[in-house]
Amino acid sequence: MITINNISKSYNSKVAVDQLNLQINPELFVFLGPNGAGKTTTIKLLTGLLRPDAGHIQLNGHDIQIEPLAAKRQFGYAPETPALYEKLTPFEFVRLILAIYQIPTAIGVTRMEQLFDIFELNDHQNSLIEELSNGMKKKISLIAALVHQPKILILDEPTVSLDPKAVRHLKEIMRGMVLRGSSVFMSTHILEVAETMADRIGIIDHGKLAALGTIEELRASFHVDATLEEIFLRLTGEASSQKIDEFLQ
Amino acid sequence: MILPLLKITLYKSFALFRTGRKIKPIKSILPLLAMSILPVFIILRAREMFEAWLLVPQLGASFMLSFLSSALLGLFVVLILSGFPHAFYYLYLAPDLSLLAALPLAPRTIFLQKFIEMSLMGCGAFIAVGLPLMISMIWVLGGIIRAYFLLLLLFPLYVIIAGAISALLSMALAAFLNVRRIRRFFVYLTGLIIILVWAGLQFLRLSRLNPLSDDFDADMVSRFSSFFANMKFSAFPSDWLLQSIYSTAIREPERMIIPFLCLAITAAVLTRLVVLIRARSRDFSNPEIGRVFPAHPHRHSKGKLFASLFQKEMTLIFRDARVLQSYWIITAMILVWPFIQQRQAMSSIESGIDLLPFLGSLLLISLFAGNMARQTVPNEREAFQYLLSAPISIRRVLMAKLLAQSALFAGMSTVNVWLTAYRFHLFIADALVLWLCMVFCVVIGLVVGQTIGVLFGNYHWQDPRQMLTPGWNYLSPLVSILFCGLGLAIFAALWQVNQIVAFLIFFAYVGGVFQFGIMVSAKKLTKLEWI
Ligand SMILES: Nc1ncnc2c1ncn2[C@@H]1O[C@H](COP(=O)(O)OP(=O)(O)OP(=O)(O)O)[C@@H](O)[C@H]1O
Ligand SMILES: [Mg+2]
Repeated sequence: MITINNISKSYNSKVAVDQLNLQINPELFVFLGPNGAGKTTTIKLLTGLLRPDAGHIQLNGHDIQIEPLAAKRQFGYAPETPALYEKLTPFEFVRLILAIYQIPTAIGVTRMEQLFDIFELNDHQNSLIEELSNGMKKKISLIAALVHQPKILILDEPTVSLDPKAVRHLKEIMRGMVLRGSSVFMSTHILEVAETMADRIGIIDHGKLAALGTIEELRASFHVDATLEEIFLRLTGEASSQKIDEFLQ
Repeated sequence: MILPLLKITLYKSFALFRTGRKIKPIKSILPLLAMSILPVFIILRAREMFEAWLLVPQLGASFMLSFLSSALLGLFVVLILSGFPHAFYYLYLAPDLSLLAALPLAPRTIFLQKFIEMSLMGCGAFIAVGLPLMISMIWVLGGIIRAYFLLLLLFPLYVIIAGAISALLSMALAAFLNVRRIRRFFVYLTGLIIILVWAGLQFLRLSRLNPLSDDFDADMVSRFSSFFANMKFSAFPSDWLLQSIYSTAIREPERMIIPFLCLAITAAVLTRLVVLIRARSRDFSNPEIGRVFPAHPHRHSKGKLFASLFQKEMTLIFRDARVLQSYWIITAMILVWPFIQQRQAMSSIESGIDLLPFLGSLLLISLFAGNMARQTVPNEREAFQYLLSAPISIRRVLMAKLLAQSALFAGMSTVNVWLTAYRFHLFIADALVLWLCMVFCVVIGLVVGQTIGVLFGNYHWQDPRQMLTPGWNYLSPLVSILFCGLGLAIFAALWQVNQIVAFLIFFAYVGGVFQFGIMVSAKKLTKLEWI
C-alpha cells in the first residue's frame, strides 16, 4: 500500500510535482502523462531518491523520510534507464541484490534462475553487463526489482525496449503479484497496457493529477465509448494536425 | 564540414574545467593555477641550469641543444607509446562514432576530427614537460617574442606527428586483433612506461648535471657530452622542432626553413595517411567479443551482506582497466621506493625507532591511498541509485569500500616494509612498528580521500572523472598528508614518553578520523537527491 500525501517537488524554481495526493491499494496502478509531466519525479520521490519539498509518503505504513530502511525493504524498483554496474555480470549483480534484501541463498538463487529463464537471459548471465543489449539491461533491472518478491513494485516505464514476449511475461508476473496481494505502481506511455491491465489509472499533467479512476470511471466522466487515447488527449491537449500539415508543406 | 566538428572537440576539452553549475571565476582559475605548478617549476629550474651551462665554455649552447634533443626525443617516444590507447579509443571505440556515422558526413571528415581530438587529448605530457623546457631555452637565449609564438604554432605539428605514428601502428594492429583487448594491453603498457620513466629519473638524478647544485658531478657531464656527440638527432621530428625554435631564438630565421618544412610536410602527409587508411574500412562500431566470468553459486551460503558488498568492490576494482592500471602504477612505485631511498635512513635505527627517514614512504602511501579512495564513490556511476533505493545503510557501503582498498594497500605496505627492512637491515621490532604506522597512514589516507570525494563532489554520475572539481583534485592529497602528518607527529612525540601509549593514542586518532569521515560522508550521501 502506498500513501502519497500532498507532495510537491520543484527543480530550482520549476515545479515538477504539485500537491499530489494518491492512495494505492493492492492493485495495479498505471500512471500516465505526457513527457515532462512529473511521472519520473513522483517515482523518485516514492523511492527516496528525491526528497519532497512538502508532504509525506508512506509505503506499507513506513514513511520514506522517517524510516527509510524499513520503507525501502517494502518495494522493488526498476528505474527508467537501467544504469547498472557495467563491470559485473548479471549473475553477480542479482546476487548482490539478494544479499542486500537478505534473501536466503537457496531461495534467492532458485528465483533468480527462474527469472533468468523466463526472460531468456540464461546464455548471458555470466557475461559483463556492459556487453549486453539495451533490452537485456532493462530485463536485468526488472529482475533485480522482482527477485526479492516485494510487497510493492515501482516500475518506471518497464516496457520500454522489451520484446513482445518479455512484455507478455512481465504483464503476467505483475498480474500474479497483484493477485497475491502486492501493489504495483507503474508509469508507461503504452495506452494498450493501461487499458487492458490497469485496475486504476492516474493521468498527471504539469505535476497535477488530471484524472483518476478505473477505465470505466474515466469513460463515464467523458462519454461512454471514448477510448483511453481520446481521454488522454482531451485531458492533456489535443494533437494538432494543422501544425503537422504546415510542417509537411 | 570539419569546423562544426572541431568546435565540439573544443567544447569537450573545456568541459574538463566546467562543473555544470555557475561558478565564480576565481574557482575556475584555481584549478588552472594548481595545474601550472609543475610546468612553472620546470621552467624555473631548467632556466637556471641552462644559464649555468651557457657559462661553462666546454658545455655551452651545443650541450644544451643536445640535452634538449634527447629530452624531446624521449618525450616523442613516450607520446607515441601513450598514444596507442588514445588511438584505439578515438578512432575505434568512442561512443559518438556511431552517432557521427549516421550523419551525412564523409568518413574522412569524421576521422580527421577524431584524429585531431586524439592528438589534442594525448599532448598532456608534452605541455607539462616539453613545452616548459622549450620556453626556458628561448628565455635564456634572450627571450624573443617571435620564438614563443612560433613554439605555440609548431608544437601541435610535433604532437600530431607522434599521434599519427601511434595511429598508424594501432590501425595495423587493429586489422587483425580485437580492438578492446589490445587497448586494454596498451593501457597497462602505458602505466608501466610511466613507472619506468619515473624510476629512471630517480636513478639519474638530473641535479647532478646542474653546475649550481651540490650534487654536481663533472664526470657525469663529460659522459653525457660524449654520448651526445655520438648521437645523430637531426633525423627526428623532435629535432626539427628544436632547430626551428632555436634558429628563431638566436635571430637566424633563415636556418629554420628546412626543419620547419620537414615538420609541416611530415605532419600533413601522416595526417592524410591516417585519415585515408582509417576511412577505407568503414566499420564504425567494434563490439566486445563476449568474455565469460564463471558463476560461483555457493561462495557464501548465508548471503551475508557485508561479504557481498566487499566482494563487489573487489570485482569492480579488478575489472575496471582504469582503476586497475592506477593500482599497478602505485604498487610499482611503492615497491621501487625502498631502493631509491637514501642511505641516511638507517643512521639512528639503533636508538629505538626513528620514523623520520621513512616519513617519505608513509606520506607517499597515504597520498596514493587518498587518490584512489577519492574515486570510489564516483566510480559507482549511475548504478549507485540501486544502493540508494535499497534497504541498506550507506555506512556499510562506505565501510566495504574502505575495507577492500585497505586490503590492497595493506598488501603493498607489507611488501614495502619487507623490502625496506631487507635493504636497511631493520630489526624485526622496528619493521613491525614501521608496518603498523604504514597501515595507519593508509587508513587515514583512504578515509580522508573518500570523504573529500563525497563532500566536494559535483555529482555528475555519468562521468566519474568530472565528479570532483579540478581544484579539489589537487588539494585532496595535501589534506591526506596533513591528517597523516598530524597523526605521525602525535605518535612520535608520545613515543619518547611511552611506546604503548603512543600506539594506543595513534590508534584512537585513526579510529576517530575513520568514524568521523564515515559519519559525514554517510550523512551527505543519505541526504543526496538523485536529480
Ligand atoms: N534534473 C532535472 N533538473 C531540472 N528539471 C528537471 C530535472 N528532471 C526533470 N525535470 C523537470 O521536471 C519535470 C518533470 O520531469 P519528469 O522526469 O518527472 O517527467 P516524466 O513525466 O517522467 O516524463 P517522461 O515521460 O519524458 O519520462 C519536467 O518539466 C522536467 O523538465
Ligand atoms: Mg519519465
